Amino acid sequence: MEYLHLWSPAILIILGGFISYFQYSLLTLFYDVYKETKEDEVKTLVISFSLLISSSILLIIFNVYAYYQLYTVGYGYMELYRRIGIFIYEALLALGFLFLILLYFKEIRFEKAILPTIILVQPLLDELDTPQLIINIIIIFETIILLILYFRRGSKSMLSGRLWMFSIIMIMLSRFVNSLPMKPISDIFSIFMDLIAFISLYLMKLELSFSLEGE
Amino acid sequence: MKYRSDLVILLDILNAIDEEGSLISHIASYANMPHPRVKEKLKTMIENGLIIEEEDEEGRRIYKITQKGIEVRRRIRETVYMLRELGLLTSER
Repeated sequence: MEYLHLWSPAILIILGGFISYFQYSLLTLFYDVYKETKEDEVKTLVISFSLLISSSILLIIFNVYAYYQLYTVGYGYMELYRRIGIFIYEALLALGFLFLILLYFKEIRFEKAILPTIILVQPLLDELDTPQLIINIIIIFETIILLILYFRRGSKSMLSGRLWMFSIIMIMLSRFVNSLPMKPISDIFSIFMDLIAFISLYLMKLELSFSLEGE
Repeated sequence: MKYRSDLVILLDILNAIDEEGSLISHIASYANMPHPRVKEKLKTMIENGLIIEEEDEEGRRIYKITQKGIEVRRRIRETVYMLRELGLLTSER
């Protein structure tokens, strides 16, 4: 378990790297459209994906810094910065999803000394638990809205759309698991599910890009 | 009357214009919009280099889509289709 704790920032850095690549690819598409059209809806998409890409970049930065803390101060501070990174990531993710949902509302118009440092930062780690639980609940509600939108209004004609639906269900479940005392496994599981969601959007973009090429 | 997103309106207008040239009456009827609003949108599109305005042999104003317009139209389509798949835009037309 200790071994997993030490490797978890590295896993989060890798997952964050992949997520930011897919988000960047989608952001450039929306930004290109916004540059030429200046439409409010596309602006909302650009804001949403700017928040999402900021979340994954900050996740990477905080986890790199967590390793720096491990080698300079100790394990406890590594854990603290890893958790802060996750906290900021989740908060920005929730905000990014909120802007995505706003699109709909707009339409209807409405390894050193492990023990000593962990004891030192334990109160701070406990402080993070409540706000993170609140953010998890917000994300669960947002995923429920996204699922309802997909089932009630989505065209459901693409395979990548079904992957999106599956990943949204898994994001919802991962936030339930994240509320249980199972860290860092639950954090890694959550972010892996987020990665699947962004892969599905990226595949959707590729699918559309190929099918519209001849038009 | 059902709400139609500004992005979909823009796509409908761009879909109505081809490289051969289209009359404003055709664009307005295809996009299902009143002439003054279409004119307003066309003006912005000309400023952004998406379409050009010319006169045909009969002296009528026609609008032609540019290469940049074709590229932007493809990107708007990708965005609109993606939002429709996710249920964030109504699936019409």
